[in-house]
Amino acid sequence: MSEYELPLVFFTVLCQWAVGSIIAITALMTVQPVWLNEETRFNRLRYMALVILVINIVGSFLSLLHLGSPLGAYRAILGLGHSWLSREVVAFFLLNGVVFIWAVVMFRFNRNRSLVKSASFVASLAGIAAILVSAQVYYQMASHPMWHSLVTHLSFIATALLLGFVTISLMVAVYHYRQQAQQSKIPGLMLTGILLGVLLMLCVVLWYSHGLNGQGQMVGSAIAVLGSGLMGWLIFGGLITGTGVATYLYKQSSVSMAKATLLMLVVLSAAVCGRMLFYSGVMSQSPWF
Amino acid sequence: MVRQYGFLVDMRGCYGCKTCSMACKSENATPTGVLWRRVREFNFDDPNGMAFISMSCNHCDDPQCMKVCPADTYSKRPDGIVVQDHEKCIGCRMCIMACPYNAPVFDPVEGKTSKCNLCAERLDEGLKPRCVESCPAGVLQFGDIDELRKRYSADLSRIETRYKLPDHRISHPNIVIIPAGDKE
Repeated sequence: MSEYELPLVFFTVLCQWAVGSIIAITALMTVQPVWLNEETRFNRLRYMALVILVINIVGSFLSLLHLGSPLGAYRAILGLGHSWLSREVVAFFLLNGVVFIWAVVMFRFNRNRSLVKSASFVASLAGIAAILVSAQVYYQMASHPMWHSLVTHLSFIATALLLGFVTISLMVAVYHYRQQAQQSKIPGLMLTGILLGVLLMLCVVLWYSHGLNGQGQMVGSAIAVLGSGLMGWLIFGGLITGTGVATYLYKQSSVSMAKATLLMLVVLSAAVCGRMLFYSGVMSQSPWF
Repeated sequence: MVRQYGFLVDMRGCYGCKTCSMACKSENATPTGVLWRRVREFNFDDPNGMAFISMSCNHCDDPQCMKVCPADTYSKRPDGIVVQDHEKCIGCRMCIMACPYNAPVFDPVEGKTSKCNLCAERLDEGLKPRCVESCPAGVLQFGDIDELRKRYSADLSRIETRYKLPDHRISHPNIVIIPAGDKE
């Protein structure tokens, strides 16, 4: 179990899910579909903002479970000058503050469009920055070629986009279902977001495959990742289901709550599998000397 | 004045008795499962043979553990020994992930990592590191790395290919390895 680093898996996936959802909400408000009137924004998005805030906070706290001495967690910022993990701790502390303010704006000042848009834009940028800092933690380790690559950054961004855009698109589709608004369309930008997430994740999977042509530890990582059953679920739940959701929502703009929940669980579990592979691809080879 | 301490491992005479590993464990009273020095075995079939490398922390010029540690527990002494302030460790295991030589070891009971400090306290008293002192075959030596490199110019790149060791350019370890196949 330790090779999967589960606390880190859930920390990164949940926080990236939260950030991706904020980006998707920002995109939704940018395209401003007709049905997204004041009442919809007020009623739907304000509760969604609270859920996203909770996901981000829970995800951040889960990272503490990885520590052998959690009571000393406050000392994790002492290496700010050189350690990307210290910077990650600060980045996610700040991100939680930004997401809190964003959630307050969404909940309390939802009718002020420009304020909501601005807050969402700032929260999206802060989220992307935090994700990139997270990726740097692993990129920094030059001794592990699977992590020491820009694909690490790509993988984290792909997870955020896929989960975020699938979540908000399905939420919109459930809203249409309940309103029986069959004529309303899911904005193309939302579906593009899903497909972009799928495409980036496909690039990550192809890069793992390319690792088989490498040598040394990269081959070991590629074999560990591609030989795992988790890869099958990543492909089915992330790539195939993600593409399927985008295609389905392009043709049919509404979906029942039960179906949406099931689809969300499939995509989320695939993201979790993908992150487990990310850690086990390196940690399964420990001790490397 | 020593600029940088380092180890020399002469694989030609090592027969894998692991006395160095046990002496280190005994000297530092490390917990169950925590070995600061380990002996790795290599088996070859063309021609048939086996070889051993005894390795602990290589007190690198660019210590990856120090670079990634968020709690600032690692520091490099003026004599190049990388030491850990064990009290400050939070058990994040970043040093374990980052070290190419697997030097830091996690103790799940204590929830912290620890690693070889080249018996810094013994050196300060003018004694040799315990592993060096205990080696019955004289395989392990230590001293100023520049001196060791002058005496034995074993090419690390060649040895890394042969024994599938990490690339020394990542952390610039202070170790000289004389491979098993080389002539006396």
